[in-house]
Amino acid sequence: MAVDFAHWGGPIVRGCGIDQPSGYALLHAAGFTTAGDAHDGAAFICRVGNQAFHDGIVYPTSSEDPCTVTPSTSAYWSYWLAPAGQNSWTYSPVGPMGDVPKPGEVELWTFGATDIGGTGGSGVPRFPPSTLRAANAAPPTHTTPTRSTTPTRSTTPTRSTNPIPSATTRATTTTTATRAVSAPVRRMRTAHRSAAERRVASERRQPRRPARKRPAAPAPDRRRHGAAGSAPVVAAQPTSERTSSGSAGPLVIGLCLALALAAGAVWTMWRRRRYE
Amino acid sequence: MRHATLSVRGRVPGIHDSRRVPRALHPVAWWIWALGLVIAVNRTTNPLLLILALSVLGFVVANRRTDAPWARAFKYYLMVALFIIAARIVFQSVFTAGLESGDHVLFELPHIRTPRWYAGVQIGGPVSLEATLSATVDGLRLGTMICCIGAANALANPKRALRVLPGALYELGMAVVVSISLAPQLIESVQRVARARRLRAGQRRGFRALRSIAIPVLADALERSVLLAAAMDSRGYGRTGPATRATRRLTATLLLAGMVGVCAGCYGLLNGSGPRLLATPAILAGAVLCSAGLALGGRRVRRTHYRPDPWRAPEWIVAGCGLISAVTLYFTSGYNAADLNPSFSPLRFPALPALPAVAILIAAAAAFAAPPPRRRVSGSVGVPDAAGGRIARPEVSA
Repeated sequence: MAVDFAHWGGPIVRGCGIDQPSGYALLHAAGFTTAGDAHDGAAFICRVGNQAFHDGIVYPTSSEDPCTVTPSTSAYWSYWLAPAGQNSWTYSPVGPMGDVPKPGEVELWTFGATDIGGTGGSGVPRFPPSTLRAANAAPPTHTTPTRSTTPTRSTTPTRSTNPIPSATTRATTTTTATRAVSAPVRRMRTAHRSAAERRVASERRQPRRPARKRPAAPAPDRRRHGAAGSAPVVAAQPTSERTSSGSAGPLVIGLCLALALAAGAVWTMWRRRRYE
Repeated sequence: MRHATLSVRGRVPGIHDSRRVPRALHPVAWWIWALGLVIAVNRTTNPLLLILALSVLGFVVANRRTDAPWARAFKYYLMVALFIIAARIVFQSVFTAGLESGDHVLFELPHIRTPRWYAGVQIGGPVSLEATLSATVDGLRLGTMICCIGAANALANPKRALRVLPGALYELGMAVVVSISLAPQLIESVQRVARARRLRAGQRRGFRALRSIAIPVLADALERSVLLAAAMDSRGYGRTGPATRATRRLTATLLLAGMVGVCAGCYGLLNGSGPRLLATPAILAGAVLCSAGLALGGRRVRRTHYRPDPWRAPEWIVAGCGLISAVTLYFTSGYNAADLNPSFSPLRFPALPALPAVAILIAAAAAFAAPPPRRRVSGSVGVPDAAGGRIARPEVSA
C-alpha cells in the first residue's frame, strides 16, 4: 500500500503488510499513523503521517483541517484499490475498516478533491498502480495487465490502455504514461465534445470503474501533476515514538472542579427545600 | 414587623441576599447565556469540559430558578441527556466500526455476517473500550447541549420571553401565551373539581366519575375563555389598524421571499458542494428581506408595555458570561485546539485546556450576577412583598 503526499510536495510513501484484517490495519502495520475526526471516530481517516516524510507529521495539519466534522469532498484522503493484475485504480466502495486486503492488491491513499462518484478531481491518482508494485512481490497472475473488466463500448481512444511496459521501472514511467493518455484525450474532447460529456455522465453513475480511464476529468492541477509524476517512491518507516497515555492530573482537577460545583448546587437545593 | 416575618419564612439566606431586591432577570439575557454555552459545548468533545459545563448549568439553575412549574423541568432534561448517552452507546456497540490494533475489548456480541455489497456496516462483533468511550463523549456532548436549552427554559419565564417578539408576530405570540397558560389552568381546574367531589358524599368511580369531573372542567374552561375574550376585546385586541391591502401584500411578499432566501442559504451552507453564491449571500439577502417584512408588518401594530422587563447591569453580565464561553471556544486561539477534541485511540487521559475551562467556569458567575429570584411566599401568588416597598407581580401574568 502507499500514501501520496504530493499535496504537500512530498513523496509517495510505500509500505506493505501480509494478512491484514482490514485496510486500516494494513495502513498501521506499514508504519503509518492516522487520526480520525471527532465526528466519525478513528475509522474515518482524516490525517495520515509517516516517519519517512517530515518526521511523521500527520497531514493535513490542524491549521488546514481541524478534523472536527467529516472532511468535505474538496479536500480529503481518498482510498483507491487495485487488485492483483489490474493496472488501474478503483475508488474503494468501502471504508478502510470494511476492506479486506488480498494478496497482490495495491491500496493507495491520495489527498485532494473528488466528485461524489470518485471519478474526477485532484484526488484521482495520476499514476498507474504498476509504479508501486514491487517487482518480486508480483503475484503469478501478473503476467499481462488485464484490460478493463467492465464491458463497454470501447470506441474512445482512452480505452486502448497500452500496457505500461515494466512494472517496476523508474518513477518517470508515470509521467510518460499520463502524457500518453492525456494527449489523445485532448483531441477527443475537441472532436466529440458531446460524446465525451455523455461518457463522463455515464461514468458518474458507475462509481466502481477504474480511475485511470477518466482523464477527461477537469484540467489537472499543473503543480500537482508534475509533483505526482516525478514524485519519488520512498519506503515507509515505522513510527519511532510510542504515544504516552498522558497524565491523570488534568482528569483529577477537572473532576474536582465539576464535583465542587455539583456539591454547591446540591447544597443550595437542600437549603431551599429546608426553608420552604 | 412584616419584613421580619418574611425574612424568617420566605427567604433563604445565601440565595436571598438581603441587600438585593429579588426580581426576574430579563429572559433574553438567560437565553443569550444558554445559547453561548451551546455554541461552546458544540465545539468540544473533551469529557472534562463537558462535565464542567453540565455542573455549571446545574449550579446556576439550583441558585436562580423560581418556583414556577416550568422552573422545575431541569431534572427532566438531565434524564433526556442520560437517555441520549445510553442510546448512543447501544448503537455504537451494535453497529461496530471494527477493531484497531491495540484496542481493549470489553465484550463480544454475536457477529452477523453482512454481504459484500453491504460491507460498510457491521452488526455485532467485539466492542472495544475506545469505541464505547468515544460514543459516550459524543452522547455527552449532545446531552449537554440539550441541558443548556433546558436551563434556559427553567430560568427564563417563557411568557415574558415571548414579549420580545417583533411587532408583526405579536398576535402569534399572544396565541402562544394563551395556549401555554391553558395546561396549568386545566390542571388547577381538575384539582379544584376533584377537591369539591371529595368534600361531597357519594363517591362515584370509573366512567361516571370521569363524567362528573370532565363536565365541570369543560364548563370552567369555556367560562374562562369567554372572560379572556371579553378582556382582550376591551383592551383593543384584534383591530386591524391603518394597514391597507397593498401594504399587507407587500409584507407577505417580503416575508415569503426572505424565508425562501434563508432556506436556500441554509441548504447551500450545509451542502458544501453547491454553488458558493447560494450560501452566505442568500442567507444575508433572506435575513434583510425578512427584517424588512417584519418591520413593515410591525408598523401597523402599536403596543404598550405594562411594566417592561428592565435591562440593567446583571443582564449585561449574565449575557456576557455566556458570550465569553462561546467566543473562547469558537476561536481556538491561546491554547492547543487539539485538546478540545481528544482522541481515545490509543487510550489516553484527556487534557484540561486552561483557557476553555476558565471560560466555562465564568458562565457559573451568572449564579451570582443575576438578582435572586422572586419566591412565592406561603404558597399564594401575588402577595405584596414588603422588601423594598415593591409589589410582587403575579408570576403567571404575561
